[in-house]
Amino acid sequence: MATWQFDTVLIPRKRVVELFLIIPETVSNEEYLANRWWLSENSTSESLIRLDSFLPRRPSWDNGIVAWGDEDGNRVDLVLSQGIIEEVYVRFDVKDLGGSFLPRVVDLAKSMDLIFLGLESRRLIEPNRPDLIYEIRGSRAFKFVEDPIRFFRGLKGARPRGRFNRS
Amino acid sequence: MQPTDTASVNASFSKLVESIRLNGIEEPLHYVEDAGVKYLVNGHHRLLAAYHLGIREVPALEVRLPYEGYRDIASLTEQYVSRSRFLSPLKWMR
Repeated sequence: MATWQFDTVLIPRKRVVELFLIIPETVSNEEYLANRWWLSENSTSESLIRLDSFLPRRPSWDNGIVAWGDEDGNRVDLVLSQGIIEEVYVRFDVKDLGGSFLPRVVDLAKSMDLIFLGLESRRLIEPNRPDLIYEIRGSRAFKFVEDPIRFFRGLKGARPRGRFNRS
Repeated sequence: MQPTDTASVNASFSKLVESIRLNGIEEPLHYVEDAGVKYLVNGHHRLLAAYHLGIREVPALEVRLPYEGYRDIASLTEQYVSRSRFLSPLKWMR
């Protein structure tokens, strides 16, 4: 992951409501990892193929991942497990917000009734451009793009974080 | 090397760990050096995966920031921000 990328996953709104009864403001990492989000949405992998119309596919380093876009730019990874969607991982290149990627992914999400989950803030983001841009503006990626040197010098002992609890 | 972001742990991360366990890190991490500090700018998931696997040395390549590729910050967002102020007023008031 590059510092200028804003990371999200797409999840079905229907599944969020099934699990939480409402659309919560946030979904924690633990809640995200503890649930299967796409079990009832197998047919949507075909809908996601629409990404081909605006983002070139790229070779993936794993047979279970269908990948579009540039590794360190705008990209989508469709993670499959035995043919079932496990994750739809969307990364926005904050250096390139003015291009067509963001609005077209938003339109795709909207048409499929999907919601973005921001992986930094853990906030659920409605599939519309203003809400997504609002979240991006609060992100580390945005601060980096705004002024990389100030961003670097503002770091205080950041260390790689994250918890590995999947087999 | 100083990380500059937090790698998220998700489904593709577990696949990445498995891939690195089998094949090692094939693509070097990228860092920028500023004032004597090496800042990791690309490869946070690979670094975290290596950490989980107990790998203590990773391939890394110094790069220059693509400053010339950056646009003026206003041009990055202005078109959206102006709309946001009208469409999501509550969020802007937080």
